[in-house]
Amino acid sequence: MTDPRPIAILRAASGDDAVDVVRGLVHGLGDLSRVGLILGTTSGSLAADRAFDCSRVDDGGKYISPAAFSRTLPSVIVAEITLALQMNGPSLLVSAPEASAALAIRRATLWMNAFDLLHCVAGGVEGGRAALLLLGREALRGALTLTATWQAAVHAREDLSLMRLSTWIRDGGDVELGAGVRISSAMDTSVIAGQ
Amino acid sequence: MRVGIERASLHVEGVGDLADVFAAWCAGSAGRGTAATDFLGMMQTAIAPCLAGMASADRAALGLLLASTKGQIVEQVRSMREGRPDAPTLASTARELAARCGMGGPVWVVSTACSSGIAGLIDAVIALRAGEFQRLLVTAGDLAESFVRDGFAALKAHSPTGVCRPFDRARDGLMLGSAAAACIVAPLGPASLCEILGFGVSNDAVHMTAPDREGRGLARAMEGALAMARLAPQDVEVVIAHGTATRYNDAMEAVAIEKVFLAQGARPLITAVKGVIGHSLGGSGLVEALLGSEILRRGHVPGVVGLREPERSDVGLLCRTKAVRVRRLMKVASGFGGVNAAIILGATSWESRDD
Repeated sequence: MTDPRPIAILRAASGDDAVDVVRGLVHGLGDLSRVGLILGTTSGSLAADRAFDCSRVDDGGKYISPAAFSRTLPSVIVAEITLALQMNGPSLLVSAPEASAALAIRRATLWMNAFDLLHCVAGGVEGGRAALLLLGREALRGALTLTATWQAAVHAREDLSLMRLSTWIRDGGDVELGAGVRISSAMDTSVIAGQ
Repeated sequence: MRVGIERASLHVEGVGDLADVFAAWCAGSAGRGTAATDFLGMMQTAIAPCLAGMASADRAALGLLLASTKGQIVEQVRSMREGRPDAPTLASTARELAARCGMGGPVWVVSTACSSGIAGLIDAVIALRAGEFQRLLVTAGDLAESFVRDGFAALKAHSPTGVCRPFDRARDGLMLGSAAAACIVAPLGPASLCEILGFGVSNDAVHMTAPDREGRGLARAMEGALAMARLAPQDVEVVIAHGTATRYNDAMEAVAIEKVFLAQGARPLITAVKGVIGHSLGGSGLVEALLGSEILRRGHVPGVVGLREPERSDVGLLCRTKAVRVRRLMKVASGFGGVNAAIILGATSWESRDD
């Protein structure tokens, strides 16, 4: 049975180490089996792909690195976080032009209902930077609004929604992330997400 | 809302389309795993039958969900080596694919390694049930090309014999194969090929590339799918395993099947198809789920191609094609990074007739 209470932002954090950011967000939650993790990235594993490809080329490919290959998954950051923190609930990596962080938050609100999750960590991770939210159904720090339909941006290779989310975490206020996701700092429980 | 799969199509390099692949599977034809280098071309070939006859206005409004692990890796490597800044990403690949297919709706990518295809199908169903879309095109695929071949070789995961033997005592590794799948996910209706009854997703959280040897993560995903579908283990008649033919994957899957089904007195038929088509990474889950819809429609359950001497005799592994009407089937997948996914498909006509 889906929890009828609205989904809200309980905590928000950003930083250069995604594992540490998530560790702080889930601190004190106890059992993590009903905590989801949905991350958005636009660049994916480009840096890791480059490193592995170098090992294929250097020295005629004599020392192709299996460790480097295992890091070429776009979802490697999800694996690193779930391994480090023993998060065994549903997890997902998504990507969309310009709006990966916003898309992850959008997916998180829907996955929380679909899988009856108590909490979900969602947001953007890009080249070491992470800006993430802990979503839940308790007291609000911020509120989420989803529009019913959304249109992904066409061009950008950068995740603009990650930058907007980072700014909101620092400054608060209202922000349109993209992918039809709007965040407000208003402490108003009538503003709901994904319902 | 009840959700179904309306149109389904495949393109498996070296084997053919959905009908070709199902026929090869039923015939027990072992494949060799075929390489390919044109990701967008392969995906377009798979998608085209799903869009055939669709009004241009409907196509222009249709959203696209791409599930993949490496996407345009060939072009990406070329760009990287030439020092160009325009290496394609998964997101830009999805956008280009949608544009080539004349689709103008929202576009996004799901990537959870080898469970991507099932995770993408699940995300599409969640989107539909939440009212985000009335219908959505889901597509999944990956290339078996030199970047991933070198990587799996470094992990010593390739079969040295080149023969994929899932669950066999003599299995010795996987066989990569290029493949793509596409389907339209829509509210259940007369055009539905099958119904999506339930699904589950979990994370092992034990290792970057190896599965949980106790199968706990996959078991949780399977149990989640059963709970969502409000089914007992006895209600599922067939499980299409991930069946990569690597030592640890197959052993893990057998343990999970034992926990979820055998321990509850259920004994579904267990089958796997990678001996025919190879492993298409992020594409494999959707490719094999759509082959599952063929099992539901045609009344034949193909066996595990390449299986001669089952490592476990108690698991219900099917060696040869069996003519049997199936009403409910589970497809499972597990990926590097630990994401497991399970989805239960139901026959539409037989279900309505019998219920």
